[in-house]
Amino acid sequence: MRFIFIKSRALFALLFPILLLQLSGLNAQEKPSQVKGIVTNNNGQLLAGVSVIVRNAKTNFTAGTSTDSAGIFSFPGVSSGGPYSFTFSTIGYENQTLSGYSIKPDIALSLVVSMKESSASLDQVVVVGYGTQRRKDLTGSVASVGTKDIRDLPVTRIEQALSGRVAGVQVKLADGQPGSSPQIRIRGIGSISAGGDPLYVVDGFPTDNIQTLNPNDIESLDILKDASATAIYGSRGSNGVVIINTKRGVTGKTRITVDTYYGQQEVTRVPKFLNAMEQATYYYNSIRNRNIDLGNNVSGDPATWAIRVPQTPLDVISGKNTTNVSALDAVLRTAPQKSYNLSVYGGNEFVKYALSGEYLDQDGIILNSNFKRYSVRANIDAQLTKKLAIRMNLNPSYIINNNVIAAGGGAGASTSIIGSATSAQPYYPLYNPDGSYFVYQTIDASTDLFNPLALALEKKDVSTRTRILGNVNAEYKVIEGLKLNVMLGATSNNSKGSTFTPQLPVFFNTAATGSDNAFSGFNWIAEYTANYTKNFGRHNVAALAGYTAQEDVFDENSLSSNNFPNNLVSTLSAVSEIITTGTASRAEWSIVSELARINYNYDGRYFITASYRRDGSSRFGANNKYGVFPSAAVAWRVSDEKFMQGIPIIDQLKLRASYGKTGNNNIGNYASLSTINYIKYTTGGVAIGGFAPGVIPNPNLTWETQEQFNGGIDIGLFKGRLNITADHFISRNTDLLLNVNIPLASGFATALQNIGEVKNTGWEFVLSSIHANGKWQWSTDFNISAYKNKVVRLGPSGDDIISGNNITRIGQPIGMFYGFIVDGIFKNAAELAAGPIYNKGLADETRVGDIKFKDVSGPGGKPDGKVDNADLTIMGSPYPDFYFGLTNRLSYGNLGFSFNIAGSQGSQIYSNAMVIYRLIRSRSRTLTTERNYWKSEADPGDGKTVRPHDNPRGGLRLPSTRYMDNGSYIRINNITLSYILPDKISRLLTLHSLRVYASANNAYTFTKNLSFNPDVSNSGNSLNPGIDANNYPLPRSIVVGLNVSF
Amino acid sequence: MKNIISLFALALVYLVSSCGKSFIEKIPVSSVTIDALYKTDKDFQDAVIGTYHGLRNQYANMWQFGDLRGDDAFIQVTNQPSSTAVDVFSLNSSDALLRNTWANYYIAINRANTILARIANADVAVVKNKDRYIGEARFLRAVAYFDLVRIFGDVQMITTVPTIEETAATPRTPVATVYAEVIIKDLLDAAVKLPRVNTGTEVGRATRGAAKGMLGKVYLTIKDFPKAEAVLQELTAAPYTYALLSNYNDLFDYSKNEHHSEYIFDIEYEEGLGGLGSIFTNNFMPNVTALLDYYNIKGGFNESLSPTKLFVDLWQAGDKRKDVGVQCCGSWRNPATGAVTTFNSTTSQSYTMKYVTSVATRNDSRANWKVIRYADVLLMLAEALNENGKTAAALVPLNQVRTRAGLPAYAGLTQTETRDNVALERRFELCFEGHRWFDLVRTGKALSALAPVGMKDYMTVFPVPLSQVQVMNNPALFSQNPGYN
Repeated sequence: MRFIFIKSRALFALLFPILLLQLSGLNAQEKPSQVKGIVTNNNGQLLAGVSVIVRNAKTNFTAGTSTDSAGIFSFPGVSSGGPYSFTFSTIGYENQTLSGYSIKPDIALSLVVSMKESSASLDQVVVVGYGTQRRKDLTGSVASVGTKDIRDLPVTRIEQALSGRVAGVQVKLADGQPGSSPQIRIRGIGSISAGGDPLYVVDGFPTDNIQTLNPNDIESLDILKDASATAIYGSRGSNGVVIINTKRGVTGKTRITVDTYYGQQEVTRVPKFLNAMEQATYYYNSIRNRNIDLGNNVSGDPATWAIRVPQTPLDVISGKNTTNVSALDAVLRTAPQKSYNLSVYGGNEFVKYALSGEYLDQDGIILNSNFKRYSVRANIDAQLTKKLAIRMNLNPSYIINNNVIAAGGGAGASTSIIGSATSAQPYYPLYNPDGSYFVYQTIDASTDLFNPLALALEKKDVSTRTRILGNVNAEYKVIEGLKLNVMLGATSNNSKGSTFTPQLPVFFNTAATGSDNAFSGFNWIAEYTANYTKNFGRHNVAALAGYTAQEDVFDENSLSSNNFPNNLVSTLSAVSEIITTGTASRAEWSIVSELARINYNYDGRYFITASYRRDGSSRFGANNKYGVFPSAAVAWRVSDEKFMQGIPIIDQLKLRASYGKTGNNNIGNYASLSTINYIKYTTGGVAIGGFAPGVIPNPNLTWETQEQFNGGIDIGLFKGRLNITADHFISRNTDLLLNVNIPLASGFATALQNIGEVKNTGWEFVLSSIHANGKWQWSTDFNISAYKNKVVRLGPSGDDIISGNNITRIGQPIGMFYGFIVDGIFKNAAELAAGPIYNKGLADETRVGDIKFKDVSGPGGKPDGKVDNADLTIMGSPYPDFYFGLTNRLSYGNLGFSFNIAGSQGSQIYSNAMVIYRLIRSRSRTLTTERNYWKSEADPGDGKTVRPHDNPRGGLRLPSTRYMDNGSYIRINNITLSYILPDKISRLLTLHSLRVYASANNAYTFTKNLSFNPDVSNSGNSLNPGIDANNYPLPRSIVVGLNVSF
Repeated sequence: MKNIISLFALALVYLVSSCGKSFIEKIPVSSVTIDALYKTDKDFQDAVIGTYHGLRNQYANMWQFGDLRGDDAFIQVTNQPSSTAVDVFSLNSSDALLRNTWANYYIAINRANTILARIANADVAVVKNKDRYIGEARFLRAVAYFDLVRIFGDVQMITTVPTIEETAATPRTPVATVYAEVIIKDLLDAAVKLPRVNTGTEVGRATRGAAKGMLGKVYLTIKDFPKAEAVLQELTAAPYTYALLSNYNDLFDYSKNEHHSEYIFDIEYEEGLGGLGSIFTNNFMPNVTALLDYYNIKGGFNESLSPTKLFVDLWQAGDKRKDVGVQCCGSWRNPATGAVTTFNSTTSQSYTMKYVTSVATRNDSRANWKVIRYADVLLMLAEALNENGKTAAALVPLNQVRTRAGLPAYAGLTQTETRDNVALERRFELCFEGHRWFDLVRTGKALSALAPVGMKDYMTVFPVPLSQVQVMNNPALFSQNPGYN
């Protein structure tokens, strides 16, 4: 009977998917003054554990309960009268408040409530700096990512989950090492040397590293993008701010949730190399061509040529040696990953708690790499008195990281595993017949290199990190509308690492070396804010004023020795106290700030926001200690105007405009001072200490300034089914810190000055639509962004900054690729005669079959038939034309399906790896792009592939488009299939709910890239974007997960 | 409730008052600013050590300029394009070697200039060794400028601590002016102010004899033979006690003291001190495991420098210096077991033994770089005497070097014969010690010797670094060397 009742309610709720409330005497036999009800989600599923609070505004009566497993709640005795309000809340749903009820004696009140899942809806609360706002009241550009976007993703770090989710936020998944951070850039590149990473604010605590944060603890991420939103963070705001709030307890029944997943990872893409036979033949021809060029006879036995062909390739060609080994396959593996989370949420109206524990264990796809994290969180909210509430967060965590070095080239004593594995020739084995490592030294047909397997298995590099982050916020309500907050917080951050490389033939018998280093940091913050909100008729005002101070102290030390007696003990205890190098240092920074903000709106239609922050920082030079960062923004909700009321399809139309000034204070802790460097020299057979001037001082050194204008429009159509947001920004970054190249004759290469200027302009476009919202649910979120970056001012005389193979030049984006443009090859003598020739008359002059460069310029700006420095030019861009993300969520009843795609179009890569893969000497592996090479004028191969040559000529090694790769891609970030056990069965199993899911992360990438990963960023340095150097490959992971709550 | 409010207020007042301006003034804890230094005797001593360190970085490259560029050495392997380009005269002005060389010398010069600027007014009562530090700074500055003008020709002549703007306005000064205004004056002053001998942990720092020896070399380079003769002659008599070692091979036996009677000035390297060793041992070894194992050289090889076949064939029978100077060709016989190892075809087929010593960690060898030693002084003296028409007297120091090598003494040579034989003796005595290319240029023989491998007439100096042409950005003050544009 009861069951049928519920079913009919559920059906009823289904028919009216929006909030339903019903006032009726359904059952007149009930006792007077009883209030009961049923809570469902908008699918009609019953929701258990929903907190329900009833309040009588007149009598201050308050009582709380929560729904049972059938979604039913009841208050047995509520005195008649009113007005009463009912507030419903639970995790993952928006709070609902029903108010204005009168309770009449003898008449029971029944409520049917349908809770709406949290989404980017208008009433959603958005976290802004030092406060919150309703999305509909926003004047700035703020993107929000909620739990539903990040759950089911087997990510180790939350930044990974942002890929493809947020317009204007470029997430580069450049490094597949477990625990490593993706590169995040918000709204273009605004700094040349002061870093581009955003500021992270976790539960109010500004920090720069969130490696220790458990993604499962996160309730929301809000990304402040425009300057009116970020200016409240002053000199730390110009790279954008990511505000992260963690999950908090809710009143109601204690809910215990177990969340776990297990998965397997493997490499997705590898470069394609010649096989052993092809490689040996290539080798043979490289020697042959060198002999021909030197005028040597190549008619006889290749082993007797003036420059002999080594025996190994000859044996491969003759079939005597059939070894065909892929070192890359040997160092890569299928790697498991697992995560266990246990969380407990609950509380009453006085004390609420959220407790969680995490164990994460992720193996990397390169042998011996691993990341483990143990973390615990306790978030406690307590209402101490009617006026005083405290919130406390405590988050200890511990990380163990087994690192391997992936990036780098493979030759010589390089410790790059991927570099060595992509260089190791296929015709040599990795192990000798006796099981020992094959030594790539003094062998005939290979560059000398460290055996990649030994690099992975024999070197030790373990680091651990302990971090405790805690803060407590006391909020005191002085009068209605006025709250004082005091937030005190501290984080202690300790890490320790040790490395050991044993003495082995495979490492050329170099003495065993070991190091031991430690880092200890302490950072504290004190923050005092006052918030005042008041409505005067149609005038609504919210004001904020505050004062904050933060200080950071860190110590580092490192010791190393190469005096290990043997390989048995890898700690420095074994070196008999003979430490060969050791250093220790301490650094500090501090910042004090005053801040204020006022939000005003008239009638919910006209909005004005203004903010102010003044920062004083220890990092700024003596002449520039304080900076002021103001902002202002306006918005107009056109849709609330009377003249719009007749247009039913438009539910929201809002125009926004903002302007603000922010800064970037990552200028080094003591960069303004003329500090010295300590150095040593040896005399009399001992080491003697000395010093030398380290930098040219600059007492005017100060923060970088960003001024940003943002214009935006928000459109909501068809009753919230289609939402469109578009933003356009123009930002001008001035006083950019530049290590200006100065004449070396000054004794220094560069001087740090606030001199550069960069402009970024961009568009962001977000479209979210709900196609179906019944038993079938289908929604799509799409975002696309583009920015153009332009250098306006550099150095005193505007000189280019050339850094490796990147150039930063006025009028161009930062760090364009700089080199020679390849124009095919010289197929025959006639073409060679037409030029242009490299090093005419010199030993490595261009010949037929060699690379041909474009003759860009010469003396007087005219092409001169020669290839020389005049032909160096901008050869490509590391920046995409646009990047985008697409998320689709589909569900039918309890079955859910979603996928997320991220894409980037138009960027290029300069690959230091390709320089080796496409070097024509054949001492290391050669890419299959070189397969169809020029052989003779009669047989020019495909007519565009350079001939192999043991001593490359014609400028082949010069930086050129030959070593560029394609950076465009469309990547399926994630595909998830999930199933929620029907309530009936859950209840039979005495569970609250049970979800199972299967998820494929980084499932597939569509790209023309020739290497491991098109999404590269080997360096965090803005001057060197888009460089690939055998970075740790990205894994694909397939996981299955389970989420049970009791 | 009032209590709580006052607590809040108190805390705020406390914070604001304690976090005034001093809160955001942080003085470096782990470094100091320059103005706190250059005060005491120890400060200047440490700054001098810092200046030696400046030259140390550069002398790791000296073989590329002094030897690889010349006709006695070449690089056979093809994996080091920059070195190959030095060898075959195709070096691009954008090559990092040139930029680093320019930087290393000017870093050392700036360190010396900083000392000289700050020591000028120092009280001798405080800076007791003031003269000595001035001498060392001027000596090191002279060495740096001497190398700079020999490598690049005209260079920016800076003897103060300039501002960025002043540096940018400093033109390339003619070589002759740099010799006259800086190099010779510095060495003359250093030859007065430096101590004659160093003891204890100061052994290895510059001495009066080093300054005079360098001065002799400078005079020889600018063809002022009478002054060269005079200053070099001083070193052969009391109070100087320089003498040739009786056994040439002891010069390169690193188990023995490198500061012997023949030592005048080295760039010092020592193993096992955390990065104070030299690269030379690993750098010049061929790719032959048996050889590396026999000499206990760990960490690999670089095959960067090989004696040319022409040079190997030049050696006379009975020259005791040959085996340590050059080893050729393509095989090695283990002295202990007699086993013969044949080299791979892609490996350097010849090598020098001058830097061979046991090495525990790659590029951490104890082998010093000999900037000037007594045999060099004797051969320079012979050259100066001969050019001054004292050919008979010239044969004395020449024969001192020659007979030590077990070769018969010369007698009755003409001036031309003596000139040729001194030059030849320098090749045998000083090969792979950074002299050959500079000797060829100094004596005008470079082009005839090296045209076959690609040298053009303008290549007696290297191109100046492209980066400096770009950063100076003023062709009137600073343009590329002729021919390299």
